[in-house]
Parts: sequence; structure tokens; C-alpha cells
Amino acid sequence: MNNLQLILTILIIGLGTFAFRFSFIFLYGKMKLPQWVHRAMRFVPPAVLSALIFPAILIRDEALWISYENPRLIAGMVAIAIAWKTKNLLLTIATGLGIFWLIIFV
Amino acid sequence: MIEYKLLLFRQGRLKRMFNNESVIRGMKSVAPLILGIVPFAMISGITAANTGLSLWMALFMSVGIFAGASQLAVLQLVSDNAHMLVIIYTALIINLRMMIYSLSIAPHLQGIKTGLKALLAYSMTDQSYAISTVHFLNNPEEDTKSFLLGASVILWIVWQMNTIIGYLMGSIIPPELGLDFGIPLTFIAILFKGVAGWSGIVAIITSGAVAVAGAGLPMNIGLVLAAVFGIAAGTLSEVYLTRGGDRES
Repeated sequence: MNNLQLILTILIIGLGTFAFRFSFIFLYGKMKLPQWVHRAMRFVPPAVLSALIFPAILIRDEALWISYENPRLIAGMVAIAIAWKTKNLLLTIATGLGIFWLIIFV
Repeated sequence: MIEYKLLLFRQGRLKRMFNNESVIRGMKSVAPLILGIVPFAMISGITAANTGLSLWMALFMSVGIFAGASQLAVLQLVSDNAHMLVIIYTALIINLRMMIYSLSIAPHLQGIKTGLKALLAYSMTDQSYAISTVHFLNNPEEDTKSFLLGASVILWIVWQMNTIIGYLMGSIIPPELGLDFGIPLTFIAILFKGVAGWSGIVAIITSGAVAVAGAGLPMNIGLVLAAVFGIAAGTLSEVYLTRGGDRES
């Protein structure tokens, strides 16, 4: 891929991604949404975040890896417990990274 | 003279447009997440360097796309010599979730100029979106545009700076550090922030299970399916729980 093709690729992805982000923020006033859509939208953050989290800690090299030897799984589960109990962002991330590196290097 | 003009600008237009305290609240609300975002931004810089991109091209990419997971996918596919259309398709599918964010946050961002809507849309990330919508639901009085701007801008700056740092220091940082783990950790940290009672847990479990089961599906379709199933399960369980007399927040 030459530089020009790469610039074009980035440009198209950038514009497309912006269009996704902008779509409903822009269109909202121009259409009427039913009440159940508003109700459902409150579940977007937990649903999407969960869909990003679990594959990231459970899947390695395209295979399910459920084992105490999986450092992402162990550190991730501890982080989930801390997030659930304390709701403290910094503590969750710091402990998660700490345990992850501890398992990898020790 | 320039300073004078800047001062006028700051005290006049900007002050009228944004609420300083809300901007700062937005910044503070995402500040703890920087710990997880810094390593991931560095990875993105390191990978760009290893893929053979110039520093300018790497910056063009991180400013132009500003969505980390898709940027990494693009770099991977470029080094695999994939076809341009495949690269575009893959990146856009990964970012399709932004459309749900847009729908979800839209009611909070009305009555403002289209240009400002565009700026807020461009700079919105997983983290600033999730933190902000949850905050808006709990604080209906918040100046939403200012809060979101504060949250997004600080993450934008951190992202770009650390992409450059990663690019320049790439050769010193060992890949076995597993720096990519920072991002799922930021998601875990904010996962329970806005959970609406037990139905939120239902959404989390359903979506997580579908995402893992569908991880083998081509082109990240599993992610989109998981979000849809998770949202549906959460909504339905809430309807069911409310009917059963078990009132939820």
C-alpha cells in the first residue's frame, strides 16, 4: 500500500466513523423516537462495555482461554470485583494492571 | 495585542458558550481512566512505527480516526497487505457501535449549534460517552455540552500525546508488557457506573456471553449482536421486574 492509498483509507475511515458518531446527535430533533427506545438506550453502556470486556479477557489467539494461567482473566475478574464493590475508577485500573504485571513477571 | 484578543475571546464567547465548572467536572470524571488509556495510546504509536508509518502519517491517523481499536486493526491489516476495501470495511464495522452511542446521547445534546454538535461527536469516545450519559441521567441539571467537551478533550489530548511518545520510544518498550490490557480495564472500571439495578446485570451477562460466543464470527459482527441482545435483555428484564412489583431505580 503506498502513501496515497493509505491517506485515502484513513480519510474514508475517519469520515465514516465521524458519520456514525454524528448521525443521531444531528438527526435527533428532526424525528420522533418512541418511548421504549429511550428506555432501551439506558442499557447501551453496560451492554456495549461488556461486549468489549469479556472477549478481551477470555479469548486469546482466537480460542477461549479459561484457566488460572490466563493473566488477563485473573486480573480482569479481580478488577470487576473491585469495580462492583467500590465503583472507584483509579483503584480498579491500578489493581488490574498491578495484578496483571505481577502474574506475568513473577 | 494577541493576548488581549485571546482574553476577550475567553471572557466573551467561550464563557457564554460553556460552563467552566461543568467542563472541569467532565475532565475530573474521566481523569482516573487516563491510567488505562496511556498504555493503549502508546501501543498504537509503537505499532504505527513498527508498521513503517511516518510520524506524520501516524498522527494523521490518530487525529483523523480517533478510535483506538479500529486504528490497531488498520495497522494490522496494512502490515498484512490487505486490500484497501477490506481495511475500510473492518474499521467501520468495529466503529459501528458509535452509532448506538450517538442515538443514546442525542437527547442530551439538543438545542446547540450544529458545529458544536459536530465537535462533540468527533471527540466522543467509549469512555467519555459512557461516563457522560450516566452522569446526565443522575444529574439532569448538568450543562451537558460542557461536561462532554471536558471529558472528551482531555482524553483526546492524552491519546494524541501518548501516541507520539509511543511512536518515538517504541523500540525501548518490550512488547511482552501487554499494554493493550489497559483499555479493557478502563471499560471494567466504568462498567457498573450506570447499571440500572438487576436489569443492568442481565444486560451485562447477556451481552458478555453473546460477545464471547460470537467472537469467531467474521468482521466483528459478534460485537454488534452482543450489544443488541444485551440491550434487549436488559430492557425486557426491567419491564418484567417492574411488573412483578419489584420497583427499580
